[in-house]
Amino acid sequence: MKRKIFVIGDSHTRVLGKAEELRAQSGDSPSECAFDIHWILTKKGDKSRGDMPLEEAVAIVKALGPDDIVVISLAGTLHNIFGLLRHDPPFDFYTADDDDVESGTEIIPFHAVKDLLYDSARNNRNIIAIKKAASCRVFHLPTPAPKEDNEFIQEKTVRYRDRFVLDAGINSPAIRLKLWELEMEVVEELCREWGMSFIPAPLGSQTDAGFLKKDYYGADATHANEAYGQLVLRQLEDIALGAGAT
Amino acid sequence: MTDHPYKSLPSKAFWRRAVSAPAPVEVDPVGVFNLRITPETKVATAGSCFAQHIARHLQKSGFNYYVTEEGHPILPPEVKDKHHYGLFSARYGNIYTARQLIQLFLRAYGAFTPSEDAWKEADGRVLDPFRPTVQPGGFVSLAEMRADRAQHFAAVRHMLETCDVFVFTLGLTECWASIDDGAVFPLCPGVEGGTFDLDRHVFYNQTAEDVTADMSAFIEGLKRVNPQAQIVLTVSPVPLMATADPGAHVLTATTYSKAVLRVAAETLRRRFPHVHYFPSYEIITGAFNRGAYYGDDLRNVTEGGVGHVMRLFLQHAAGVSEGSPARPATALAEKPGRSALSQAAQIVEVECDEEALGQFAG
Repeated sequence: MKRKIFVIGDSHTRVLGKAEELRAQSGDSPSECAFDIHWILTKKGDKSRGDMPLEEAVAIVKALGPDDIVVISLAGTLHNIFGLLRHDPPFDFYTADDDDVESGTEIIPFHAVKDLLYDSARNNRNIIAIKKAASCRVFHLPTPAPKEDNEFIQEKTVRYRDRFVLDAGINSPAIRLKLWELEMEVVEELCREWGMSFIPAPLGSQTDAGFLKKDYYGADATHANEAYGQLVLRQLEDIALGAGAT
Repeated sequence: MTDHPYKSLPSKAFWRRAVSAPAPVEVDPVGVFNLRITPETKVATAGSCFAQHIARHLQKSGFNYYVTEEGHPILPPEVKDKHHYGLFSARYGNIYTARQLIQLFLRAYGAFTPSEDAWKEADGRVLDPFRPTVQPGGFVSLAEMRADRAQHFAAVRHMLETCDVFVFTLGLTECWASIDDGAVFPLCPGVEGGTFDLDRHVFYNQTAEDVTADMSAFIEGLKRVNPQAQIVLTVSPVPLMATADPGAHVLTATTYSKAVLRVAAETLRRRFPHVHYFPSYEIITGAFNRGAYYGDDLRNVTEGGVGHVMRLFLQHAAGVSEGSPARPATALAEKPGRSALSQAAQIVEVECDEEALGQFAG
């Protein structure tokens, strides 16, 4: 019997779904695992995004067997929300290993930035509800590493969260990378609190500096592509079949 | 009967009429106090723990509590609070002594650079010796601490140069200083960070002359950078947590400390026309309230006491009465049988570095 890999998350699950579709079309899907990938339905006014209400996801998770796995992709987007575009005043922060800060920025203490990320994510009700429903192993995915190419981002993005990119300006790649790395540390810490395992970014998906490789750029400022999705699917199969790190 | 000066004195000049006869809630020990503020007046605060009450009540009452180091706008209020933004007008933490205040002024303007620059803790944290508890978790590197300090000094200068009123609460006379250059620390090195070293650190208990001289230097300095700024001095009614004065009892040490600060405040008020004294100390410690303004530890001030202070402050400075002042009558009535919970609720929470000394009481 195939092991079920139930993936539930936000917009970053789209490329996983597309990657799975491509594999199915080409006959590459593994015989030992069955993916079920969904984006939690959210409504804002008349607009809705996603394809599965939380309640339905929780019901599916409850019905999973002990050898199945749940994979969540919900936390980890704050580095974009807080850091993709420049703020007024622009900010930067030090880390224990990095004394390079951008001149002309307001320095926010590292621990304040960390608390911002931690406090904003720790009470994620969707994550807590899904974990509570699961009797099998639960994992959390990282978001894709940031893209180094600011020109690409500017070309592909007019507005981000109600702000015009040209008006605000894009934060320096170094600041965006620092924020993503710190957020992934925070999500990993939170995973321990939530009782789930954090899966690191797929091997080979990042440049030496830590940015997302261009081969894996999605068509907008923040998302990865189907090729990245393929890397993640392989990670998940390894984990489900016991070959991957948990 | 001959005429004499006492015949024409107002009621407030007489103990029975002004202190023992009125209901506690009616006692108003404000003497000469000519400061006037409006909701637009930029009021900055600094000082010991008690100064935080002034900031809190000014905000609550719709006045312009002036903060120049607010924390970056992406930080939510809870994170700002945790990291002590807005606790005072800039993120300097508690400034207990007059020496600390003039030292901050000199450091902010580059006129003094203490040799004891940073404390590197065994766990890798870096602390600022002159505000060791201001950054939860410490700084992650020396570079971060120095960058934060530079921003802090810029915020201090901006506050000093643009405030309309600077309220300073004198808290202590006892301090620990660097033998090398005389720099004073808010807390004894070794208590909340750093390492105590008899060869590098020395105890000093300031005299009235010291406090008056340090405060005069600050007042004159502030006048140079902001000629219009008015100054309000108060003396913290919070007793010492502990004394390091050789052989002293903490109660007599407290009396000495508060007496020195009160004498200095009065001297300064008489010396400088733009310096005002507000009697928070007398309102809280006055016998008229029969100890009701202190919590069960006889040290922390109750909300009733703070309410009385701020009601009178706003009444005299702004001509308004606070919306819903905590009335001392409540505190008096509740005192005998108060549960620990209700007691805790009445003691106002403040961030107080000096509390750290309590852990050594055994």
